Amino acid sequence: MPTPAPLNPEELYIQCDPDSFSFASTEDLDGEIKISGQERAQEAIRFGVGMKHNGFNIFALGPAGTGKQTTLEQYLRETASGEAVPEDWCYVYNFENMRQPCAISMPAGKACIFRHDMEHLIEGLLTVIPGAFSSEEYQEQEKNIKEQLNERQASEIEALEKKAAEKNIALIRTPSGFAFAPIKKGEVVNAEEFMRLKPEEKETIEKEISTLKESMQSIMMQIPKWQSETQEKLKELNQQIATFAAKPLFAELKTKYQDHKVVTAYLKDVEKDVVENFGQFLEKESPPPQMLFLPGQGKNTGNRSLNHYRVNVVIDNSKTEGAPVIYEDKPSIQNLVGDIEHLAQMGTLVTDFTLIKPGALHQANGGYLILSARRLLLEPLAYEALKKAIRTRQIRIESLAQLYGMASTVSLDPEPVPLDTKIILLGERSLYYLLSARDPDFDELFKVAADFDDEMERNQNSHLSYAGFVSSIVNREKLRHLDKYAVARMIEYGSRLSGDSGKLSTHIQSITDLVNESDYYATKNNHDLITREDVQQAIDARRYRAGRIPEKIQDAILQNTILIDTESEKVGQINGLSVYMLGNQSFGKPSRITTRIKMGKGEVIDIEREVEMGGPIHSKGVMILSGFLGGRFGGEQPLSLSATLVFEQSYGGVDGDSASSAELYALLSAISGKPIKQCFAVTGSVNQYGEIQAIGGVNEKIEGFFDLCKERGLTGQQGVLIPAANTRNLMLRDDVVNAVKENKFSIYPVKHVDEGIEILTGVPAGIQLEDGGYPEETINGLAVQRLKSMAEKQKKQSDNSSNNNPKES
Amino acid sequence: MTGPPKKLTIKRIAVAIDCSPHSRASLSAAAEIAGLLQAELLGIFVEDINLIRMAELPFSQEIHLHTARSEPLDSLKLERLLKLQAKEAHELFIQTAERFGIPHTFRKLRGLVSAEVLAAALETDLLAMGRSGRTPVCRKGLGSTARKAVKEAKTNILLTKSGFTVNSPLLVIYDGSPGAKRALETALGLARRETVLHVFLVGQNARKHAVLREEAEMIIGERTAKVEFHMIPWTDSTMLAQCIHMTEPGLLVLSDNTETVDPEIVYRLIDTTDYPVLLVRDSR
Repeated sequence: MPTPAPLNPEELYIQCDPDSFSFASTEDLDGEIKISGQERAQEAIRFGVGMKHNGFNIFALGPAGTGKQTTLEQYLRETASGEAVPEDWCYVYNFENMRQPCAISMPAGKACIFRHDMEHLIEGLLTVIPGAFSSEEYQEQEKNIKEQLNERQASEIEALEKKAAEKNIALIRTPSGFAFAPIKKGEVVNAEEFMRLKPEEKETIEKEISTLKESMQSIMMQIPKWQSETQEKLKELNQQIATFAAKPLFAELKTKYQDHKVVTAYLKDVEKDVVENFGQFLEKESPPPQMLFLPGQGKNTGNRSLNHYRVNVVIDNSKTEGAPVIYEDKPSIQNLVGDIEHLAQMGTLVTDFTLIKPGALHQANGGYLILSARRLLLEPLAYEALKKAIRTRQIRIESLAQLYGMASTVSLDPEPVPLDTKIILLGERSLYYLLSARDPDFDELFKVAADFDDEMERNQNSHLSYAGFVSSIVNREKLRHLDKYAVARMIEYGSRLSGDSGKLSTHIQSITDLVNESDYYATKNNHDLITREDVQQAIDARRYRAGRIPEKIQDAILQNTILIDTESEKVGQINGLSVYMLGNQSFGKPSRITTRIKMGKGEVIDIEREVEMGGPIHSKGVMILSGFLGGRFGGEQPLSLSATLVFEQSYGGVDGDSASSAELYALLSAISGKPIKQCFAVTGSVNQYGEIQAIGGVNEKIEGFFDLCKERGLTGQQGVLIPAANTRNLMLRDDVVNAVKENKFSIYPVKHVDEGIEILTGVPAGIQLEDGGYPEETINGLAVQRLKSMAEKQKKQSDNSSNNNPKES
Repeated sequence: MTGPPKKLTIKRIAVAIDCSPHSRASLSAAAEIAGLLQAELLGIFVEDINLIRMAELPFSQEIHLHTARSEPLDSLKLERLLKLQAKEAHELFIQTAERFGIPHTFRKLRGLVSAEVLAAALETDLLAMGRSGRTPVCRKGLGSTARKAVKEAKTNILLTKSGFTVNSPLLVIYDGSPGAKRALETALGLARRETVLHVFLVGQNARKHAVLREEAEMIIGERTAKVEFHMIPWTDSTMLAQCIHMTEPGLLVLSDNTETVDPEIVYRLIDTTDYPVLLVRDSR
């Protein structure tokens, strides 16, 4: 099998041609935010927004920083601007049940006018009602009614007094009541004189007094009834006066709001209440000091009860254009569904409908509400409250303190507001799948998934989109503009970020950060525009800042604390490559893999697995090697070997199968006895047929080995074997590309293990002959010979053992 | 027509106290007048002998004011209640007198209320009392003691009701007689600069009214700025009462010794109009 040629420098880094741009700098672009590469997500959003049925809410899923929020807000603002402005909402006092304030909707901008009208009405009532009640006509009528009661009482008692007087009996006032007594010449008969009277006379007097007493008691029993009648008459009079005074003011408002039935009904209730409670408009005294801080006290009302007539405008869309698009940064239950605030007053918590505060759902009603799913789930009960609102299609304000029983005070149960809001959740994919799997309501309520990709195809159009996006960042952040070379470098960085020379990363946050950092260096370098050098400086500086640990490892290798050979040839020893992830940074590093063989039963022992330091994928990779060896060499004879594989100086565990090809090369070397050139490092996974498969982090791995070789001195022999399928992922650093250009370093794209072993050992792998064997002096031939020899030795030992222990007959 | 009017000299004021709202008002008014005229105040509380006698009767029953329930009333209980009432009256009297900083004496008497009050009033220049006493209802006319005082007392009488203050508008019936002049002088003595003084000029014709007005203006002089003259051609109690109602005075200052208005008409006016009255007498 012919060995592949090393890759050309052009294949290691796909440059972006600045001359392909029609602009000189991003200043020439319009600076509008254009997100491309998210067509699937955008289509889902369009669908979700267009579907007006219940449950077609959107979950925008994708990695953080991929522009989900930007894309959504941009699209929604465009869409919402053409939609109708939603209605205003206000809460008013419920005269039938004060604990359930009524919600009233009005055309946009009308609620504030209504509130003003009500304030004006109260001011008017505070003038006209006291005026009416201080009029002479009223005073005269009131006096007349009271006088009637007095006269009635007086006449009844005077009649009784007169009747008593006819019988020489007087009604006398006692300290706590009164009594009847016989009189003679205007004076009460004393006891002695009374005792001298004849028994019949005494009896007559006693009888008469008893009768008078009963009559008096009868009159007195009637007094409360008369008083009640008088009160009724006074009440009737008062209501007539109050109605007469208030009617013109209410008539004006009723005419103004005659088309609004709910408001008209409310005004009717207010009028009734005003007439019944006219006294509150007569109180001229200011409230006592301890009553100054009353719930929602208005500027024009010094009286608490007048608060009943206020209008609490919770949603005012007078300045809203189109449908609202709201992003709620802290989606707590209070911020979502609203809250009922309380005031501490004389040691207790009090509230009223004027302390009802709207939530984001109120603000976004008739429009769109964007929420972070993670933040939503972190807020106690917020997710449940949101689901309830979507399910019931209404916003019901429930106080968290009440739900938890933390505030055991009288609270309100405001009338729910109908909900017509498209909810958009933003979150990572894992959250979406978790919710979808675990929450039975989720799929019903969030039927539309807008899946944001973290990369997009790299082509001329996406280059321009990238440039436009960079331009928008510059405008938004008020930075220097980038010249076209800097833009090209940005695009190349985006490609490297995606780990694919044919793709661009859509991780907007990373690009934004790089633009900001490049601007910093442009400032330091006194550049009017950000140049390619500034961008490169920012990239290098970022790598330098994150370079402490890679450098420490590099130093350890250079000082032979970690043994990595890059010069000699060794049997059963190879340089594998691994990638380390630290935060948002990743770097590659070589690791020595060794293998030893002995006689055995054909098993490959993974030492990492034996000590439980190997992950399942790594173990799988090693087992595949057994399959390969068995398939290639075990067809004619048993594999009488036992091989051990290990990542030397690995203390933190190993996972992944990207080293499986390197392990196979080490095994083949160990079996064949042919040494491997240590100037190479290898990455790639392998299948049971020896085909090399793609792996991740290829750029970091190559650069990791290159950095070591560079430190030790590039010899021109050094290089890396990578899966041929990973060639499209290459976006290597300039210094690597330059070294390749100068033939100081090589990168081999390998498709099959037979290609790789030849490059590594300089010995052909050997193609199977018709008789099933392999040519001598090839890796496979030598391996077959070695295995045959081992099998024979094992058979011999087995036979000897049988002879020494003959079977008993 | 006549010489200069005799001025009312008040050195000592008797006030009958039974702790009813009207008597409280009369105490305040008497104390205010005493303060104004630097007079001494004599408080009188009378333990009604009729009550004591009644309690001694074997069948006496008291009907409670607010429950209409009746229960026996014995002497012991009554004595205790009267003692409490007297104490309350005394405390009220002391507090009021001290508030106005006037010399004062309190006297507790036992006997027929009207007789005792009138007897005590003989030692004073003015007897102040409520229009009515402790009654279960708001009597429109005068109480029995007040009526007796109006008819029989020789001294000047001040009859008040709750809500009365000396600053209220004053009303005088003036017909040019010495009694009327004396009433006008007395009213001026009580009036402050801002007090409204209504003067009813009682005469048959406009000429008479003009003469009366001129006389009244001479008497009033600069002593009060707010004088309102009313020409009254009637002398019967009904018409006079109507006119009085129309002016809504705070205090009627009347004399029962005028040329045109009969004393009986004056007494009827006092009885039927429900206003505080200061009845100025000539006899002293």
